[in-house]
Amino acid sequence: MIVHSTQAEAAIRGVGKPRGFWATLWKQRQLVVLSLPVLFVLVFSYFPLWGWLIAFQNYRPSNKIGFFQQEWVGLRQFAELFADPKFFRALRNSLGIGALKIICSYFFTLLLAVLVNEIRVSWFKRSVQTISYLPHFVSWVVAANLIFVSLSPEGGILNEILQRLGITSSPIAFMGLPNAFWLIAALSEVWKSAGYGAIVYLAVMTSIDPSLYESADMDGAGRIRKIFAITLPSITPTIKIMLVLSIGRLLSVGFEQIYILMTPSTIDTATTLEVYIYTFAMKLALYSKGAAMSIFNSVVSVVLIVLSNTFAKLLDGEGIM
Amino acid sequence: MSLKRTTSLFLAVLLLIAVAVSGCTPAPTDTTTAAATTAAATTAAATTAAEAATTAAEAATTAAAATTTAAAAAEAAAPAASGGFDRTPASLKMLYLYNSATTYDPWRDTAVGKALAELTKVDLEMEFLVGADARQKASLLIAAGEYPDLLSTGESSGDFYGAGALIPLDSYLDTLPNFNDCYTDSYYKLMTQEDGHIYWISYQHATENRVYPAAGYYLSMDALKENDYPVVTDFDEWQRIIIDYKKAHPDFNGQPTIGFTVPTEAVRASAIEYGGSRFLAGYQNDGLTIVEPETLEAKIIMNQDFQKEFVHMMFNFWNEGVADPEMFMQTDDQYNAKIASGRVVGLYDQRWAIVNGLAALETTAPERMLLAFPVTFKGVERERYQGARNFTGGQGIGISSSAKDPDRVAQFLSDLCSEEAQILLRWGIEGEDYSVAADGTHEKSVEQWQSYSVQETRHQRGIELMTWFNLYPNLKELPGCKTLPNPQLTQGYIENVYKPFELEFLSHYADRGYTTFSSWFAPTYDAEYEVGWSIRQRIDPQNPAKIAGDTALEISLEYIPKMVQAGTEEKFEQLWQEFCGVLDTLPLKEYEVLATQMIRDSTQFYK
Repeated sequence: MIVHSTQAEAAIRGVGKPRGFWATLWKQRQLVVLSLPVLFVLVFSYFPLWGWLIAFQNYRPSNKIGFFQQEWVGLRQFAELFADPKFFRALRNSLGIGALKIICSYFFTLLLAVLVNEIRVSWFKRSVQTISYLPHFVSWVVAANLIFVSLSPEGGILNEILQRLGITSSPIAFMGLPNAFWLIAALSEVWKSAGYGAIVYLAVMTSIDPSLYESADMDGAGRIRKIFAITLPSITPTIKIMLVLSIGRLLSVGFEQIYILMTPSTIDTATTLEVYIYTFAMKLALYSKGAAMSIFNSVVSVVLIVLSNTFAKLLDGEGIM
Repeated sequence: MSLKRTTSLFLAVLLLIAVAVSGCTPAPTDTTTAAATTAAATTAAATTAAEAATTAAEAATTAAAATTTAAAAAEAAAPAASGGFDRTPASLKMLYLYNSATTYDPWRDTAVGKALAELTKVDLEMEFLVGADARQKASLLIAAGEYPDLLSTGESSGDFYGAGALIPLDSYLDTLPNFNDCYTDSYYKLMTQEDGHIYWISYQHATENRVYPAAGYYLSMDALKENDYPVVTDFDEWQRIIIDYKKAHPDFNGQPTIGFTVPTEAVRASAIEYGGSRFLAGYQNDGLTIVEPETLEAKIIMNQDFQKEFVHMMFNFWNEGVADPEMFMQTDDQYNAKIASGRVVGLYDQRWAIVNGLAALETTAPERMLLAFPVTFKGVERERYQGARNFTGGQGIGISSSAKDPDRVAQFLSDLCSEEAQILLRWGIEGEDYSVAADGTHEKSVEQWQSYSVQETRHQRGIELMTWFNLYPNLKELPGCKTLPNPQLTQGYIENVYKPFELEFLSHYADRGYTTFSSWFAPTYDAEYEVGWSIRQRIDPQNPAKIAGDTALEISLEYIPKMVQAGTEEKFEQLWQEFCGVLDTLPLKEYEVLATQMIRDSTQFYK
């Protein structure tokens, strides 16, 4: 009878469905939980974007002036930016270091993964893997100190070796060589990330069907042949995905690494966009110019992602987006 | 089905709004900014700069909301002070924008600090700058909009003032006791900002260095000994001594001797950007500029011919293999460590910047102690290394807009200005660190002087450690005890400060009438205008002239290593021309005009 009256009430109110709000909510609880990550992205990645507004102001943080009372200058910050030759130098350095890093990381990560995959003694394989991915957990500050010490012209191990072997007559201050900076940045990145990056490939390699190798054995294929005919083709989709992802991050060269490794001698080749943004926003307190530059940075990154995805599609008709 | 979809959508929007609203209220803002502040505070500046920058950037988006509330709070707390405030026990935070001289807490770990805590009823939590980049730290704080109660502004006075980070002190200075003992009307005028208010009280009173000169071209004692104890005043001779010594002694303690090295970290690079060359040409320290003594006209140093000479000296040193191969890639700590090792033969710097290295050198290799000389170019008649005795208002201590109880903080500052506190800070505790003579003046026994003249033991007591509280004029006797507040200016110190190895060394100069390491320098003189470096700190950071000056410094730091490592004279010349060309594109003229104007305006307060 209670049921009847509820139904009647519902009918009077004109509610068509028998279920209430909370019931629906409970029924769709999985959907609600699933929407949380989306919310997270909205709140932490998109909501702060309103701060981009300061790129169109001559912003100065102050208790005296409210945000919207700041001086609005339109596109002046951008105009000044594009008129600045140092900006293009920073862009060049970002692209250069980024590209070199991707090339070196790819080559060495793949090489490491393939080599480790070929090791048959399992304890040795495991220890190589562990040792090679340990540097990933070392902070850049510590890593930079190691690099400075080993490349030092005063008793650095590399200079010692070069001199003992008679290759150079006097020690070289590697960290002070403007032309060596890109390479040092790329190779130190390899040292730090190759082992960790190789884990992904190794995981894919373990899922390759062993019967492929067995049949290749029967056909008389050697190790090298098997690597090129079976291992590498099997991980190609992974390589492609990783490439597209990393090209999108091409401009995010890695602020700490560059900032810590750069010295006054290498300002010319080491000032990447990120370092340049930092100089403006945090050292000269020109926040608006820093914001303008970081907008530019984001736009270029989006363009790069779209381009690399298109490129991947062109290669074999499937992208990741 | 459509209802399901609308329900989820509705929920998502609801949640979003909830988060957005809570993000705009002050409470969560506080936590975000606090996180940014702590992140910046507790970790090495350069290393976590990236993280801190990201956090600060996030915080900056909510800063607008925070600043409005802070402004409202500051208004509400506008002081209606009449006389002193209650000395209720309080816990305050303070940021000093320079490196800490010690590893321990000056307020909580030292005898003097504890006595001051007793006197002022304040528990002070000190925070120091990590690294050397004060403006970077200031920018982070400003972006977050949250400050400790007390700010020692350092070279960032203009940044803090521009951001409204400090509250006006005028009413406190009028009503609270002690301030007027420390500052005269002229001093107040020098501390007054464009808008007519005083935001910080300066601890940079006129002083003299009677035993160790403030700046100079340094040479190691060992090199001087080999040259039969000369007084080096000629730039060429100074270079020759370094080159000869490095050739004769390529190694020390198994490591290569360093003929010449320079500091290059952040603001410390000023030594090579403009700091060293002006003295060679006979000018005093006026920051980015030299000031013509007759016309009071300010000129940027960075593209002057004498600066070129200075860079060329480094170019020579580099080619001769005398220069430190790592000099353009070291932090300030590494630079001081090199000085402490005894390997360095010569350098240019200001003493305050290398005092930690020198203190360590005293124990590692005292016979290689570095001594400063007033080196100039040939033909320069008058050197001005010691500069003018000058009160400057460019930096000081202020109360931040985040201070919860500004009245209590002001009372604390007033208490620190008292004679009792000033004696504690600089002379120490009666009976333990000094005694009172029959005529009421303060004196130290020989043992007390010995303990005082070693930086480490002095600092352990807390004496002359909190120099940011030295608010009483250095050269004016304290009214109660008729003694100079700074023991280093008294005769007793001059007689007792030198250690045996220093006295032995000085004895070789006695026949020429030199009794201290300062005596071959020209004496200080009364200031006629506010010095250029202090003026620079006061210029609004958004002023195009200031930005031009700062940008020129960045460019300088980039070009100097290139020029020094140019290899050939032609390449050096070509780079110098290129460098001057780049500087010409900046409105540096505006800086010169502004600085000249401010310097001329300031003369009225120095009569």
